[in-house]
Amino acid sequence: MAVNVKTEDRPPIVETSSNHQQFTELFHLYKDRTYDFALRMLGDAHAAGDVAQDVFIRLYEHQSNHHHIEDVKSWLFIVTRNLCLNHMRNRGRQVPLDALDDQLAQTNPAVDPRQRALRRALATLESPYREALILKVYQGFAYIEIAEILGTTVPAVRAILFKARNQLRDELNRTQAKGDSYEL
Amino acid sequence: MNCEHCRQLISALVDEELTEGERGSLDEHLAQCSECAQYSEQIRELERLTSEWESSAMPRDIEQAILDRAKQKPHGWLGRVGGGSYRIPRPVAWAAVLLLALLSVNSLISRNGSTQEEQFITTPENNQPVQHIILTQADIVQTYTTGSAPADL
Repeated sequence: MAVNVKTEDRPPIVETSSNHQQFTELFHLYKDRTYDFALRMLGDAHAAGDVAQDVFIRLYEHQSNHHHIEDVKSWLFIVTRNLCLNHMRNRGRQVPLDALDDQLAQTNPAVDPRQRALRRALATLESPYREALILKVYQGFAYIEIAEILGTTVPAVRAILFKARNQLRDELNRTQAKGDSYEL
Repeated sequence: MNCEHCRQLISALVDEELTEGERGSLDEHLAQCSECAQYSEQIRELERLTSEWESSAMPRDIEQAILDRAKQKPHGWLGRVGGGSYRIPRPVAWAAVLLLALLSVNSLISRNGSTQEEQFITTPENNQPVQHIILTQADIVQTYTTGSAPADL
């Protein structure tokens, strides 16, 4: 069962007099969610680790340089998303499917064919469908928060998620048609 | 309500983002349309499947690496030189430091009167220089700002 961290309390506003302790608190509050988002976006634990490091070092620099951040949680996901998209652009937008399978095999040796099919199908989704689905299903964000992260409107988020689910369903059914695994 | 609109509402229903009015219209349509009812089941099954993918915590080594890097980073703008989000290239940073140092030295020497300008005072008759007067930068500044030469000239 997925541990969906639903929208907790609004994060504290970063005051200009931020310090190392404040950074550490924010880091421990958001490190797992940020890493998890990057991992699902990239399908590669090594790349997700690099992105997560870059995100939090940027946060630290922002605080050190007295840059005001209105909403830390949104800021973290916006930066993570942008860095993931940059990474995907550099490697040709493809999620390494072998790495996905390896990762699944490590966490769950008895690989469920439905899970393998799902991860592969999710990896075929283009931006912004993939991140919208991840932000909703795995991060538990409300539409209004997803709209802020994607830089769009709530009706657009609703439409994006509708299309994302359709694409995911179609991809899973295509996989099944090839005799690989699973049909919805 | 057409089927396209209905299916978009099904997606929003799964996300718990429907208004009461939308929910009523959706239920009404689903009761009459078997294809949309089947679609609804597929989306719910998809949701069950996706929610089985467990979350991953940040590995301990990455966590430690981030905390170590943050600890090593100096505060303030100096922390950006050669690293960080808004990177100043190292050669540019060093060139700026060198330039500032040179300007400071020059300013220091000027204050001590070592850098001076010679000015010729000429007579109207023969246009020949009659004397050399050594002007310091302070004299020149005074002349420019007050419109008159220093009293001892």
